[in-house]
Amino acid sequence: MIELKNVKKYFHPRRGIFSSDGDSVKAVDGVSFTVPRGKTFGLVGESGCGKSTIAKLIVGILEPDSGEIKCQGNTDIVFQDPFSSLNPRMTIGDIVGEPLFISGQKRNEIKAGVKRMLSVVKLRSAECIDKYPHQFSGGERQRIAIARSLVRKPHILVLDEPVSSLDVSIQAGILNLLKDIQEEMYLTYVFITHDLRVAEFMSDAMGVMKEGTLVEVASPREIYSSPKDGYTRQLLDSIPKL
Amino acid sequence: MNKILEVKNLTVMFGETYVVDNVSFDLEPGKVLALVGESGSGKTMTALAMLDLLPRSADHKKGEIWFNEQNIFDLDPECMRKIRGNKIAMMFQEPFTALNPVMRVGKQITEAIDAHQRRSHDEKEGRLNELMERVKLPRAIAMSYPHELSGGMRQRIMLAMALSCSPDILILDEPTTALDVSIQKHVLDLIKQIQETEQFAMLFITHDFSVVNMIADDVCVMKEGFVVEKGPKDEVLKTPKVQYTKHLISCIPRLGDKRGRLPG
Repeated sequence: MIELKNVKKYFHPRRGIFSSDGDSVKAVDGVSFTVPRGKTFGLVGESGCGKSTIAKLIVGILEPDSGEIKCQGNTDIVFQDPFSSLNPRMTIGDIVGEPLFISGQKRNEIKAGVKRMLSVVKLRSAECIDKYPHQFSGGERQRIAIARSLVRKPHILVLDEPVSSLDVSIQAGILNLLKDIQEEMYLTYVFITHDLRVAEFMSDAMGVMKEGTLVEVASPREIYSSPKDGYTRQLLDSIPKL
Repeated sequence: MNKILEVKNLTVMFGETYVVDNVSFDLEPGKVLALVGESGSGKTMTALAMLDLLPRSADHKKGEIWFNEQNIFDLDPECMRKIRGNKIAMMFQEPFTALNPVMRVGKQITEAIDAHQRRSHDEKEGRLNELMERVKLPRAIAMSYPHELSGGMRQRIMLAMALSCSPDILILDEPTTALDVSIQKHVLDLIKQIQETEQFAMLFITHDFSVVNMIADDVCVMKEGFVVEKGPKDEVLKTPKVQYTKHLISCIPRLGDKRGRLPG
């Protein structure tokens, strides 16, 4: 489970030597939420609202200025852009195996772990282990990134806009896959997106974020059927109708 | 029905591979045609063919593209240059890479005018003011560099560039795919509004049927280089004939949708 209590993170932009320091940017300004084990918390907001800062705080890439973050178990992260998050000069086997290599596992253990994870994300390991990222499509690359994030068997997975650079049809496949994996491995997800439709499809609870604060936390059903906050309503109105 | 542009049996091959296979459609003035399909379906190559901008590796092309009683494939490069950007303009997908990072955005817009028309400095300034107003950006933004602007603002600058010579046809290649849903709505509303006042013909390329619903009059669905279905928007959306179209429509999550899984 994950628990955030009044978490704050400010950034202080540095100016040139002759200009005075600018105002600090309140990227995350007093955010609290809890995610029970095995559930998905969907974090929605426009770019610049602080969603990705929260992702980085949860996995420990950033330290909060104040407040508390408690995570039971290991955390890992999947980034948005499967084109820049995979090293173009490494083979798929090396990319997926790297976290295990860094934690000091033996060669045959790494090999077995890589094979298992590639099958979890429905890729044929024999066919892709020696290939390079450019030989794969966007959807396949995102599967590879997911395999890498799962290889150390985390309990918590932060997904930072994992489908927003993909075609809608590819997106559907990845969303289904993430649901299957969650069930299989009993994972807790923090799912970050700017698309309320995707958040609603994936989440058990949702938080709407604006300028560093959560303006509304509720079940997906409440969010779309009776939004309390004006900003939530605005986001709902901007969704193209189909 | 008067057509402004007619694509007839367009085929584009990279070596032995067909990327566009016998594609035909028409554009009508004042109408929006959406070209829908997944990446790799040949949408962008079709659009590039309309501007005679196919990459050199596209070694075989067949078919005809009729614009103003001329076949685009028969025109010499100089004639084509006069049409491209002037009569037929294109707005590209990536607002982050399509702008010159070291040139003020206002200058990039007037540069597009310079390429086609002889205008005095004052006339160009006047046109720039007009265009900035049309895309609903404050005039002062014209003095900024691309990195100082958000994705939505950059996309508006791209739109102003494409509109700078008052084209007869505007091609938009996934203009909102890289944007947040809420910004996407603003940009689409703006494009639609400008298209309705200026009444140019538009070819809108996208993979997302929810965007098609917002902007198009007619739809042409492409798969693996073929047109699999075409017709008026409402018809295609409500009663899709082909399984592939049904799939593209149903794989989008909807609010309040009880499906635990998406098709795909």
